[in-house]
Amino acid sequence: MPAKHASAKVPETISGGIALTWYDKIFKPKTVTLGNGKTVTRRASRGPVVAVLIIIVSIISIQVTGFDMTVLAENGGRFWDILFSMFPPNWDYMPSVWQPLFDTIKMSLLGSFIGSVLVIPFAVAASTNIVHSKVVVSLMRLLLSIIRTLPTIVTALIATYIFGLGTLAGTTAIAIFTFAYVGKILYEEIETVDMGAFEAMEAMGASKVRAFTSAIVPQILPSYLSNCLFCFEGNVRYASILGYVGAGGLGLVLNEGIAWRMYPEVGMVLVALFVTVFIIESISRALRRRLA
Amino acid sequence: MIEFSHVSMRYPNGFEALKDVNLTIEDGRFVAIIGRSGAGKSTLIRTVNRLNPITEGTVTVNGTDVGSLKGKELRRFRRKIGMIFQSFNLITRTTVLRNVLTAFVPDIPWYRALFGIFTKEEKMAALESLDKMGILDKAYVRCDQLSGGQQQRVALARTLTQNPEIILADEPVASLDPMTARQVMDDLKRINQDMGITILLNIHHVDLALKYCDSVLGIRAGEVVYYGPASDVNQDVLDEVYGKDAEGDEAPLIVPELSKEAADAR
Amino acid sequence: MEERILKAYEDRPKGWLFELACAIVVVALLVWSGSAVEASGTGQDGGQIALNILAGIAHPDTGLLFNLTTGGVPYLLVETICIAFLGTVVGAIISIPLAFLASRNLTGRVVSNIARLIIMAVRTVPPFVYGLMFVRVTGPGPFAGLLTMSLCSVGMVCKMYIETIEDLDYRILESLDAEGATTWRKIRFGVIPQLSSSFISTAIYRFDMNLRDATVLGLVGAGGIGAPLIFAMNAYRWNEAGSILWGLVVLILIVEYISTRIRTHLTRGV
Repeated sequence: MPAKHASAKVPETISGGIALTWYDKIFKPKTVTLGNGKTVTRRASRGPVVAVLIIIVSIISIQVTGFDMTVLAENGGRFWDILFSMFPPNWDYMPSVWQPLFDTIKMSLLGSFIGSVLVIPFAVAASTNIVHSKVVVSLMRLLLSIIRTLPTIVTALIATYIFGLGTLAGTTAIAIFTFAYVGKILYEEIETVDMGAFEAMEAMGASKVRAFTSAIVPQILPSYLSNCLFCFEGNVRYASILGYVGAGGLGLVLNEGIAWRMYPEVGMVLVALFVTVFIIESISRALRRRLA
Repeated sequence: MIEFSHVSMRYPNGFEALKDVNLTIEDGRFVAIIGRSGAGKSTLIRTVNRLNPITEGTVTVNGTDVGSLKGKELRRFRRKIGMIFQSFNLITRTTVLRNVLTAFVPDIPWYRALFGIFTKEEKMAALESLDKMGILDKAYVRCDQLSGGQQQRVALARTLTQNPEIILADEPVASLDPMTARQVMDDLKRINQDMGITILLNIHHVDLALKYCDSVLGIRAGEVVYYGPASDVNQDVLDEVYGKDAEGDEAPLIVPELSKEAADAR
Repeated sequence: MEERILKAYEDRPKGWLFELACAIVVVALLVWSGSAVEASGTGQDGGQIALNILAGIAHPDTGLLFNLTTGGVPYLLVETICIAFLGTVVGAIISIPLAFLASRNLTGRVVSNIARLIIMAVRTVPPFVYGLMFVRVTGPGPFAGLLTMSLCSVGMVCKMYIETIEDLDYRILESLDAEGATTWRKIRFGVIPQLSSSFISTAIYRFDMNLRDATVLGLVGAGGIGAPLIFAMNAYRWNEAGSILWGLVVLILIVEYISTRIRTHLTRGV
């Protein structure tokens, strides 16, 4: 007959060899003693503490943000009003949309390209199997991390101050984001590559650079291209936001539309954006499937 | 001719991989290096093309002191030494021909190396190597679709395309089944005899070593304990090389028939 | 022998034509994109501003940085965290039914494709549009920001939920069936354990990203640390901007570290 006893003394080890952490010093592990005298120990469940934590954070958040269901209930209707006034969209507005739309696509294309290509030497320098200096590797990874945490809007805003308004700022912002995003994935890929062929090439007398391009690049090229395409997909959507800070593209048009409450026009822009993103994503998905 | 003169290799943590190795290997020999795992076989082979450095002594290959080479000279030196590996070390995603063509990569201009553009002569030379190894028909097949033995042949073809003077083989048959292992050994023997290329071969299968090679080098704990003709290898030599383990078992027995075969083959 | 080799050479696959065509297309696209690049006001001004920005980052306004009132950086960071947290929670909750509807193995092709289109439409709308719309609903402030974040999360969260749902292992349900479990029990013991750890992991990942996107909200007046950042930059007060940036970057790095550890705990089940 199994019986549960909360053990008076703390067991030294846990059945199954699971490690004890500081949590278990506070919430002691429990021991179950079977009828035949054998015991099994398990750690106290993390569940309750996690639940309490979440509740506390939720309460704080609700206070801080002013989350109020009543406000939603009363005014929620306005959201749908605005939404419905966007459709049907104003098709006549379309001609003014083409130019910004193409600007947005061009910005993302160029920005993604520059970012993905520029990061290659940095990603190589961040791979422990190519560069053997721990200092260099850590430095590179830290650099990529910091760049990755910068929100795209912020970089775009800074870019507009440096380059002035217009698409150059947006392209730069996208290039920087792509740089960090593709960079991380790229060095993670390089680390897991099979170094055998690289060693064989070095043994044949190839320099490290040539050994890299001939032996390692063919292995990572398909996934690298796939990731660049994926990043480009996302960047097209980002690019439309950048216009809001004056960095060119559809964002400007959208901002004006909303400010002047020209909702059918805004609807038109959104529809155009949706169709464009749909097409680009479909092409990208097909290409990525072929690459895999 | 490969000369080792008081060669020692000590790792930073104090472990001595090679201890005062003195050795001369003449041109055209087919040398089998035998010994326990961790005895220093791989380390010894890799000092010849300086994939492993040495801490003392000199390794001289055809008059060149390997330790003194740097950068471009080292790379040019390595062109003349071919190497094949236990795990083949091919680029499995690409075709057989492309793999063999990588033998030319160190010498071609950078734009051709970057985009993988090779001339007709280079491609023909690569195809010839494939033909010598008997796998010409697989030239445009992706490497990961070949069997182990075929992949090792591709690796050999790649090495031949370099026109090497010496071939280093680091346990090339360890991951192959017995039949395929014999085929690869046949290939190596043929290369050694037809083209006069010196071959240093790391191998665990003593029977294969005795059957195919003309010289045997035994290493134990970083020291060379035997270097002589394969025909002179007997049980005592093997005990010396492999030692007796804790239970006092003997080193790999030489099967009498096999040793007679080895003797006949000479 | 020469003939055989020559024949093998002639027989080589002519794949290079396709690759050349691809290269031409890519180059053409790039040239076309380059035509859009326009800038006004570059020149020495730009360089000077860049230096100013760098100076601002190097000498952040520590007064602002450690100011503990509601105007200070720490409070705003906390506000941003709260917006991101609740926004992720609400977004995750909204995504659950949507993701179930959009999974091929649960609802069949037609319904799932429609649901996917809806998700895609929701995803395509830029965050600031939602921001402006919600500001009409709740007035400016963090509440609007929270709602915006939740809708923005839907896109990615749904996508990852769908992947998890479609990977569902049916064999567990089969064995529960064999034991005679009711549908509710099957969901409770067969489905939910498989999904929960992945769902939570996704939500944490999205929280990380929302923290970053929360700066957008400041632009549209929806609360968070974005607003003071923009104001500082518009007023050329680079020291303030620098201190805010520092706060933000440090926060994100910390959160990223913690969330990665939690996520590896979740996936490894320890």
